[in-house]
Amino acid sequence: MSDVWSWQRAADVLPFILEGFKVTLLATFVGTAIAAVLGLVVALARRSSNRWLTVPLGVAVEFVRSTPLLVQLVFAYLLLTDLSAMTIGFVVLGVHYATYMSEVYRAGIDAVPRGQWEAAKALNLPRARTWRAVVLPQAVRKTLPGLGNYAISMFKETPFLFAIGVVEMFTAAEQYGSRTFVYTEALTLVGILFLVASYPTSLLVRRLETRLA
Amino acid sequence: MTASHPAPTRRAARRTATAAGARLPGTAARRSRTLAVSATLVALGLTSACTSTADAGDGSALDRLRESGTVSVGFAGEAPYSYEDGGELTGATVALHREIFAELGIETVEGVNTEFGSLIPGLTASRFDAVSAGMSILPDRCEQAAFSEPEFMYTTAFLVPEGNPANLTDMQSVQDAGIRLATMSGAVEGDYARALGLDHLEVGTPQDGLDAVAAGRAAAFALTGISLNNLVEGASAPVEVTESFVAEIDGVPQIGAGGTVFRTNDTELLAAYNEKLAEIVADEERYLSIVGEYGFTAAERPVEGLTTEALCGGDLDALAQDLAPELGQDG
Repeated sequence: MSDVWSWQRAADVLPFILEGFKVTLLATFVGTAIAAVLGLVVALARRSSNRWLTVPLGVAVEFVRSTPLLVQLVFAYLLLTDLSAMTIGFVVLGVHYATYMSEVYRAGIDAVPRGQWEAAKALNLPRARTWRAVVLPQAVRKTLPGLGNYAISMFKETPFLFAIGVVEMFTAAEQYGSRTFVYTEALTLVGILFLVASYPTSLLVRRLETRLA
Repeated sequence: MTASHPAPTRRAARRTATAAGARLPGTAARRSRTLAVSATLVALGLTSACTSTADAGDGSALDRLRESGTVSVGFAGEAPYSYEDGGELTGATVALHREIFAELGIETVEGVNTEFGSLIPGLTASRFDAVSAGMSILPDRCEQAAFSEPEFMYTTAFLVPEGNPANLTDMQSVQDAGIRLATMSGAVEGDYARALGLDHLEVGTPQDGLDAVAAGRAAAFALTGISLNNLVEGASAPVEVTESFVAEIDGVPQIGAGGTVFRTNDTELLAAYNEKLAEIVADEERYLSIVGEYGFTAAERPVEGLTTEALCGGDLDALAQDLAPELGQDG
């Protein structure tokens, strides 16, 4: 407390934080995988002409989008006691961001020129082939930067997992701090690690944006 | 009054910044430079404000508090140590503070409710003058903060499902049963669990610990006996609290005690506080008249010879042997 920063303390706390960093990365990767796949499924399903499917799905998506991630995490944690906290955390993150990503996919699909659909029809391509070979390859190109940004955003929201007892990077720092009262070094390292991981990724996403769009 | 000190400096800095901004009219480039300059000035003002409060700590904190007649303490809402009851700050450590600070000529004790993990950072940042949470005096922590002399001795207990199905009595029994134990983040029981290599889960608050046991996420929740008894009093879940015990790690009893935390440079305040505290602790009747109503007993009163210095030293083996007569144990 007397001196503001000590490299010795920083070195002591680093292993704990790196341990948490692994969980942060794992949550981001698993969460993004769930969100990217589920988001696409939702986006496609919402284009169905069956109102019994689209209306409830629309309500569900709006519900998830309009309630806070933190509340969803705690709610699922208290409700689904059979699942481990980590599983719940990954799934809730994935589902939450799937609703955002479904909108990105929808925009990407809508942006495919009408002529492409008409051409596919004129060539008598089957419906599945139209999607697989014509629409999705063009739509996904347009959606990649948006998906990337949501993945980064998810990465930065992993500290919410503290609420359900998943020891990711931020919780690891808090726990170390509570135990030893060393907070400055711990929280600073967490901030730096977040920056080190998210800034290059955001540059990469920006590059994708200029190259693909 | 912690807040009164930095405010003038910060306000002054802002005024200068605005004045500088108003004098420089013109192009967008110039305006943005002005903005940068203002931002820097505000930042500098903030920095110097922080530094000046930190400097104010050395010896003068006691005078400052006496002058204002108010001391603000950080607490994390942990019954029965320090919590709010119907908006009123209360609890055993708060009762102790009211008694001691009144004797020091500081009439009012104000509470700042914060999260457990923010207590020490808040203290360092001068958001309050002391931490009133009965924090465990541990060697690692002593390097970072100034603990008062011990105010309470800690014994551990388990919160378990009704009937205590795993038959838990102490830390060793948890190890033997091979069950998952919940502990509270920052609480000393987590250290015990780590030292024994137990399968353990950290929760954020006592209530989370109770929920973890009630929902079957953990077979037991370890915390100080005092806290657990208080916790189950109002709970409707089918749980119970085991008998309190002094945890043993490798045969060494883990004598634990908690105290108030001050900033390391508020030495005069700490010394004055300790002096009044010693008078209370030495007098069992007076001690119980202050903290008794919160469920504390003679067993929690620090035994003679138990000092913060010894606890910070961390040699529990030696401490246990020194205190064996007072603790009613044999060597």
